[in-house]
Amino acid sequence: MNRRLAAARLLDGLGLLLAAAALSAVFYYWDPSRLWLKRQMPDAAGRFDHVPSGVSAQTVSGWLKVRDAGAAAETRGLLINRIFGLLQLPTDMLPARVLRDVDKAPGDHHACLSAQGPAAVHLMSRIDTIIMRALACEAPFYAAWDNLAGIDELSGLMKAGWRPYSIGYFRPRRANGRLILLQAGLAVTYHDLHRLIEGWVAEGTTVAALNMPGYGDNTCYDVKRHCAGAPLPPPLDGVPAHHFLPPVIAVNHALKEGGISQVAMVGVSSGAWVTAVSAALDARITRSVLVAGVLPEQLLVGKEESARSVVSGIRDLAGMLDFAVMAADRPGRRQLQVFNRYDRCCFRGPRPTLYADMLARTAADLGGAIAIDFDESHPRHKISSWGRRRIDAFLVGEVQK
Amino acid sequence: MTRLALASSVLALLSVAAGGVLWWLTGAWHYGDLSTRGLLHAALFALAAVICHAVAAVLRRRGS
Repeated sequence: MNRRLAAARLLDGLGLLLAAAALSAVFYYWDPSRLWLKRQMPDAAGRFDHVPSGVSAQTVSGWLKVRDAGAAAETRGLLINRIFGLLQLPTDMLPARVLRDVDKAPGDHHACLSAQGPAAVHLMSRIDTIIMRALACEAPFYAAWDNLAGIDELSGLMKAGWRPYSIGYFRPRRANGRLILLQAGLAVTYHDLHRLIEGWVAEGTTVAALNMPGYGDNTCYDVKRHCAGAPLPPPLDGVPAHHFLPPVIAVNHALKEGGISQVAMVGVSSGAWVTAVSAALDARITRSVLVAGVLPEQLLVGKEESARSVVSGIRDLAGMLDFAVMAADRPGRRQLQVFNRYDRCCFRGPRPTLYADMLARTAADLGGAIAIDFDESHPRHKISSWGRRRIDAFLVGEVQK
Repeated sequence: MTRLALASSVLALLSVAAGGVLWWLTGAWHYGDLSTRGLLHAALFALAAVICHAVAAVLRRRGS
C-alpha cells in the first residue's frame, strides 16, 4: 500500500512538472513572450542594439556607387549583359511549359516525399519546413482557397540534368490587377509561406511563387516532370541566371496573360537578395519588398555569409546599396526593406540605420522611394503578421509607416 | 485526485487551450505568432501531465 502511495506522489510530482512545462512551452514559443525572453539574455544588447565598431554612416556612404539615373541605367545594362548575355532584358522569354490547373489535375509526377503520401507532408509542413516539397503534391490542398481560380505550373530546364525552374502561378477568380512575385529563401519552399499566398489570392492578387535553385521543384528529383527537354543556351544555363531568369519569365508570362497593372516582388531571407537584384534589373517591377535579408556585404556576419552566393558573378558590378537605388530609380518605383530587429537567425540589429537616410535621399532625388523598417514584434526569421500588414500597406501606396 | 493534482491538470489543459487559441487566431501554421511546433510541445507536455495525475489517482484509490 505504501509503495502505491509513494508511486502516486511521484507521479503527481512529475505531472506538476509536466504541467509547468506545458505552460512554459506556450510562453517560450509565443512571439511576444519569446521576444521578452530574448531581450533578457545577457548578450542581448550586443546582439540587437549596437552597430559594428569601426563602421560609420560616412564609411557606408562610400559603398554606394549608383547615385543618378545615368549610373543606374548603365549598371543595369552591364548586369543584364553579364547575367543573360543580352543587351536588354529577355522580356519575350516565356515558360517552356505551362501546366494549367495543377490543383485540379496535378498530372504525372514523382512519388510525393512521404511513404504516407502528401497528406503527411502537408501536416508536417505545419510543424516545420520541408525543402523538397513539390507543387504537384501540394496544390490539391490549396484548391479550396477563397477566390482561387487555379494554380498553374510554369517550368523549364536551364541546365541539362541539373537545374530546372518551376514557378507556382496562383490565379484569383476576381483579380485586382496586382501581381506579386513571392521569392522564398534558403531552407524553405514557398509552400511554407502558403498562408501569405492564400491571403493575397483572397484579395485578388495574382501570385507567382518562386523557390531558390535547388529547392522544391527546382531540382531534378522528378526527372521526367522537370528535367526533360532542351536546356537553355549559355549564359542562361549559368549560376546568375538560375537565380534571376525565373522572375523575368514569371513577369513575361503574367503580362502576356493580361490584366496586370502593378508588378511587385516580395522576398524573404536569401530570397530578399534575389528580389533586390531582380527589382534592380527589371523596371517593370515597381514595388519591391526585402524582408529579413539584405545588407551590404561588408556588414555580413556569421550565417548571413551564405547569402553571398546569390550575387556571385555580379558583385564587381554593383553592391546591395546600388541594387536598392536601381529598384527605386524613377517616379512610381519603390522599395521597402523590413528587418526583424530581434531575429534569432540573422540580419538582426540596427545595422541598416547606417544607410537608411542615405538610400531614402538618393531614391527621392531620382523620383523613387526607399523605406527601411524594423519589425520588433517577434524574434524569428520570417514575415510576421506585423510584416504582412506593413507589406500590404506599402503595396497600396504607403511608403513610410 | 488531490487538489494539487487537479489544479495542475487544469493548468496544463488551460495552457493548451490558450496555445490553441493563439495558434488558430494567427493562421494555424508554422509562421504564426505561436508556431505549430510550440502548440504540439505544449499539448504533449499537458497530455503527459494529465496522464501522470490520472494514474496517480488510480493508484491512490487502490491503495486506500
